[in-house]
Parts: sequence; C-alpha cells; structure tokens
Amino acid sequence: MEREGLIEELKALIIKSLKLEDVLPADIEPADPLFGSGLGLDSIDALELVVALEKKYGIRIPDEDVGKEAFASVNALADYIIKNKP
Amino acid sequence: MRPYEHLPHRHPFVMLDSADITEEGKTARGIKRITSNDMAVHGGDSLPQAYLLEAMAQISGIASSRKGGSMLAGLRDIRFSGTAYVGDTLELESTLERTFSGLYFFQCKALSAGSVIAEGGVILYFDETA
Repeated sequence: MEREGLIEELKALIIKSLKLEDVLPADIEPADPLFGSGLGLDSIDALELVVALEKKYGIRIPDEDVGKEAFASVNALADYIIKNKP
Repeated sequence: MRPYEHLPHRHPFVMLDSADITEEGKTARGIKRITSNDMAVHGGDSLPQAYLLEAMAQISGIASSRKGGSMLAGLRDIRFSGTAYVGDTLELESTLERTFSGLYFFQCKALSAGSVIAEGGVILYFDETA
C-alpha cells in the first residue's frame, strides 16, 4: 500500500477503534504527536491501538519503547507498519 | 481454587465462589452461585449489572495468574444480553488478549443457565514496579 493511502487508513482506524466521535480524519495532522499534546490519547488508548493495529496489519508492537517510536505521530506509525509488516 | 488465593478481595466483595486457571497466564473460568442473601443481590431477585462487571474483572485478574491486586482500568464494548437470577449459577470465562505497558486486555464472557448474559473487554492495570 502506498504511504499516503496508509496514512488516511490509519486516521480512520484511530477514530474508529478509539471511538473519537468528535474527530474527523482531516482534524488529525499526520506529523502531530498522538499522545499528550496532540490528539491527547492516554495509555489505555495505546493498548487499544496496539490490539487494533496488530489485528489489522499483523505487526507486533512488543513493548512501551517500541510503542513510543511507533506512536510518535501518524507518519511514524505508517513508517513503522511499512517497515514491519509481514 | 479459592478466589482469594489470587485476589486481594475478601467477603463480601468476592464475586466468585470458585475459579480455575485453565491456561497459566492466559485463561480462567469461575462460578458464582446467585443467592438471595448475597450482599450484591441486596434483597432483589437478580445480580445487578455493576456486580456482574466486577465478577468479570475478578475472573480476569485470576486469568492473568498474577497474585496481588490490580485496578480495573477500563471496560470495552460490553454487551448485556440477559440476567443472572437468584438460584442461577453464574459462569465466568476470561482470556488475556494482550498486555502493554502494565495494562492487560481481556475478552470476558458471563453465562447463566448456559446462555451468555454479558461479554466484552476488560482492562486491568498491574503496577509492574511493585
């Protein structure tokens, strides 16, 4: 899958799996942090995202350190999936 | 096993009469007989849903096979489809799906008279530094 398409797919997956009812895909800036100051996601959201991403893309996010790298932004997440997809 | 061997909960807040770890660190099953003198029933004719969720959290704690306490951090996509009445035996099953950063995500099911009455995701937090 090309990267731009993956980024749009990830925005939709984040909104759906975390039930962000007031957020539209266009509201998510691909370079913004997902946690803290960006979308304001928390550690429980991280767990739910890990479950959703592993189911959909077959990737593995083994621990918090890898999670910090993968969840830095939607761009970082797309790069992580492209690099690690089986 | 006696639930309190794996849980910090004590009477009257133990929502399981007995439990078994069916796969170490992964799955557990337990039962609770619904009786009229149970504190949770409180003079009614059935187990309130809040206590049903607590029972699902407790069986999930046992499924983790970790001794000691955890905190119920979240519930996801819980669906209620029935009621456990006085006289019924509630059966509970929980399977650990994923752990991440001290959080444990379980898929859990509660059955009464052989039918599923509640199911969904339970998230527990274990302090891994403790």
